[in-house]
Parts: sequence; C-alpha cells; structure tokens
Amino acid sequence: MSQDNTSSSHHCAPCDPAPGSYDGVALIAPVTVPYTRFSDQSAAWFIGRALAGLVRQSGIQKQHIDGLCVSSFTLAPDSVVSLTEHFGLCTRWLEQIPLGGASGVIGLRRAARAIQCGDADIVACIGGDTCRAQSFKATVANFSTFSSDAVYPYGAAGPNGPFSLITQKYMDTYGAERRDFGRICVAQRHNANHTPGALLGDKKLDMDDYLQARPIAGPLHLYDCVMPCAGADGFLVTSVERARALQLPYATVLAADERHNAFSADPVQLRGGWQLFRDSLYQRAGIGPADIDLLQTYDDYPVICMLQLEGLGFCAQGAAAAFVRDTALTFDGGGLPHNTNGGQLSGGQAGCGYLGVVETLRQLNRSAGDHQVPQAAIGMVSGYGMVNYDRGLCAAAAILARGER
Amino acid sequence: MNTPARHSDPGRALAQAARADALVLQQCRHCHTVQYPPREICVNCLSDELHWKPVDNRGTVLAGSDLHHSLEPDYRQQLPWKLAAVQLDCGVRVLVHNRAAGAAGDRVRVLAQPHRQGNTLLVTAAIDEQEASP
Repeated sequence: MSQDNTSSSHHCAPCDPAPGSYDGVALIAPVTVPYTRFSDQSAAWFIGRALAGLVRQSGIQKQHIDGLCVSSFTLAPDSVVSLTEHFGLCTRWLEQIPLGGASGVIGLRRAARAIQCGDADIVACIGGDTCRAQSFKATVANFSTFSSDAVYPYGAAGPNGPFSLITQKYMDTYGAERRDFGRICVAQRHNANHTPGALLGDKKLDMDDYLQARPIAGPLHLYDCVMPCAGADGFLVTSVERARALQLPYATVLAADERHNAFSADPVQLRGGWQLFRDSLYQRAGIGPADIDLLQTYDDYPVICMLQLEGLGFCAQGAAAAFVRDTALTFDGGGLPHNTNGGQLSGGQAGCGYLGVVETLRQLNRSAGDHQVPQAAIGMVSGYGMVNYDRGLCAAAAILARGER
Repeated sequence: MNTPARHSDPGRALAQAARADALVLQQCRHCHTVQYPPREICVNCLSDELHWKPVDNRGTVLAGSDLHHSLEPDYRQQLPWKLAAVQLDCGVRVLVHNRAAGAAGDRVRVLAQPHRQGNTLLVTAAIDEQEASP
C-alpha cells in the first residue's frame, strides 16, 4: 500500500485557500423528468421538460429565469446556448459543465456564485440525457482522446473495464468482499422500492440475487453496474431572500468544494480528491460527518461509493467494507441513510450526477414521500466523474441544510 | 460491425513507432519524462518536443480482470478477454491485453502488437526470472 506517494513531478498543488461562504444562496424546486430505459426523445426534450417543471413547481415565470446551467452527454451538436433559442429564453448568464457525475454539485457551485455576485437572479440548473439503442456505445467509444486511444480498443468494455480493475485492486488491498459491495446495492434497492419512478424500484433485490448475478468484468457482476437511461433532474438557484418571498421551501449551502486529477501518481485509484478538501469542508460547515442526516454518493459502481465514504470522512481509508457491514444504509434503517431514492444503481443513470442533488433537496424539504428520512436537516451530496483514462478525475461535494422558514 | 480504430494523431503515431523487439513510448526531449497515453504536450514540463523512444518494458501487474461483456461484436467472440493494468518500471501505467495472464504482483514485459482494424495493442509477455528485477 504505497498510496501516499506524492513525489510525482505533476502532483496536486497545495490546496490551502478555501472557498468563501455561500451565504445568502437558496436551492429550490427540485424536479425530475421520469427516467426511462430508452427514449426516442432528444436530450433537449428532457432538459426542456425539466425547465417546464421548474417553472411549474416554483411559480416563477420563464422570462424571470436569467441564468441556465446544463450538463448532458447526449446534447451534441447542440449546447446550452442552442437551448436558449429552443426554449425561448433570454439569459444573462450561461454555463455548461462537462464533468460527468460531478456536474450536479459543480453546477450548484457555479450557479451559487453567479447569484452571490449578481450575475444572475434565478439560475435553472439541469442535467438531462436521452438514451437510444446505440447512444451509450457512441458515448463510450468517443468519450475522450485517451479513452479512444488507450481504453476502448482493450476489449470495448466501456467503464466496466477500468472499474473492474479499480474494484479488484480495492479488494486485494483492503480485503473487501463481493458481499460488502452487495450491502450497498441491496440497501439502495430497498430505498428504490419506496421511490416511485426508480427504474428498478418494482423489483426486489436480496443478497443471494446479488451474489448469483451474471459476471460482467472481473469482480463486477450485473448489479454492480449502473444502467444508462434517459431522464432529467433540475433545481433553481436564487437568493434566500427571494425563496422566502416566494414562500418556497429551500436549502442553503453550508460548504462545497471540488478537486480534479488528484493523486495522479497513485497506481490504481483507491482515493479521490475528496480527501484534499474534506477537513476544510466540514470546518466551513461547522459540523462533522456524524452530523450528516443523509448522504448521496455518486454510484456508478459500489466501490466508488466506498471511496466517497472514506474520502468524506465517514470512515478511515480502506475501512468502508467494515463500515457498510456495521451501518444500515437504508433510508429507514437508523444508520447512515445513503442514496435514499435508490441512487443510480437502482434508479438509472442520466443527467450527470444531478440525481443526488435533487434527492438531497427533496429530503431537506421533507417532500421525499415514502422514503423520507425523518427530521432530515443536513444532507451531503458527492459527485465523481469522467474516466478520461483509467480513473475518475473529478471529485466534488456539498453540504446542504434545510432552510429556515 | 468491426472494432473501430478512432485514434488521435499521437495514438496513430504510437502504432507507427511500434517495434517487435522493443516497447516504444513517447518521451519528452526536454525533461525526458516518459508518458502514456500518448499526447501532444509533456505532462511534466509542458514542452511540445516529444519523440518516440524504446523504454524499459518491464513492469508489475497492478490488477487484472476477465471481461465477460463487450460493446463490440468482434470482442464478444473472444470473451472472456483478459484486461490488466501494469505499472511499468519506466514510470507509466498502461492498460493492456493480458495475454501472459499475469496475476497482480507478477513481473511481466509489455510489448506493442498489431491488432485488427489498424489497432496496435499493448500486451503482456512472460519475463525471464533473471531479468525480472528492476
């Protein structure tokens, strides 16, 4: 275990400066355009329906939305500015974030700064994707230059290839077993069973089902692999003042941060950028991991949930398998409610990590229905994304709090 | 449908530089850093003066896995397909076709071999015991 090697000539710069506070920023109106395995509609359709949902849920008129932030793997050749014309928006602030599963948290950060600086009054943040028969293969085959040159030709397994190696190395290094990953997947399916709209929510999954699933790549079996689908999630970012004036339930941002291409000298990714900012993140929020009522991690594969549990300080490095053995991860288990709507593993993968942000907002607004975590007041959402070569490069996290009425 | 070879210019250059008797990777003329995957700028000093040099092709298998699923029909006929990550002694990590079936911790050599549709694949080969140590 020589994962502490930072002697490389291209390691991360010292990261002492911490971002300023997000005081005065409110997140409102979480919406979801129902996920579906495949769709004939375009990504623009999903993003446009999310925008319609934001207008409907907030009561804010379309012409008052003066900022738009989108993320999508399937929007090309269009971009965020194409969408202004498509949807008849005139904005003074636009952002498009191509950071995969970290885009939701990072979109939140960018939009919050726009609100604080007066660059926009109301920003719609939306992650949305379509999914057609060949669109996943096209996304994977052209994912990045490094990937086209040095990953896709090696068996064309998509992300399952690199993640099978990460999972195997994690098991070899820390003694995690398939059953440990299974605990994450089975708990999330329980959560999905209480979430209308979760793609696999009408199917039960127990540990035997998990262990007996067909093999996909190395230690990865069917239920370890996220299912790409079509759908969209979105929310509005504005000022606390405005949220209160509109009498809308809202959440505030206690702290948020991100790091990219951290620990690049590690032979295999067993940690991500979270550990470079987590102490400062909790310090700025004025709380610790024990104060988090619910956690949404980016779950393309369960090993990545473990990296986030460790990176965000819920347990020590390498101790996530023991943590999930000892801690209930269900919304109603009294442990650490985790991926409380079933996450992507049971809900489907669309929309670049917005799922966790929107679910956190619902929980803090106490509008999560059958899978509501009682008394939820502080939630953490984590993002991870972009396997450019052999590991995910983006790490981000935010701590959100229920807004005072 | 065939496995596509959608390579970048540096990716194609790696295939053109490949030799049967050595592993040829990209090196910076300025700071001598060896890098992979191939790129247009040196990861260390940002120079664009890069060239192709034979490197020490011995390395250690970091992790291996058998692929049981592929997006490409070509590969589906070859399943299970052995994928591995190897840490080369020259300082780079490579994903390889693990033809030598090296297990984690095993010492191997890595070579570039022509593959279908113009692809050149890095593959593992067995290593003699006396030449295994770095």
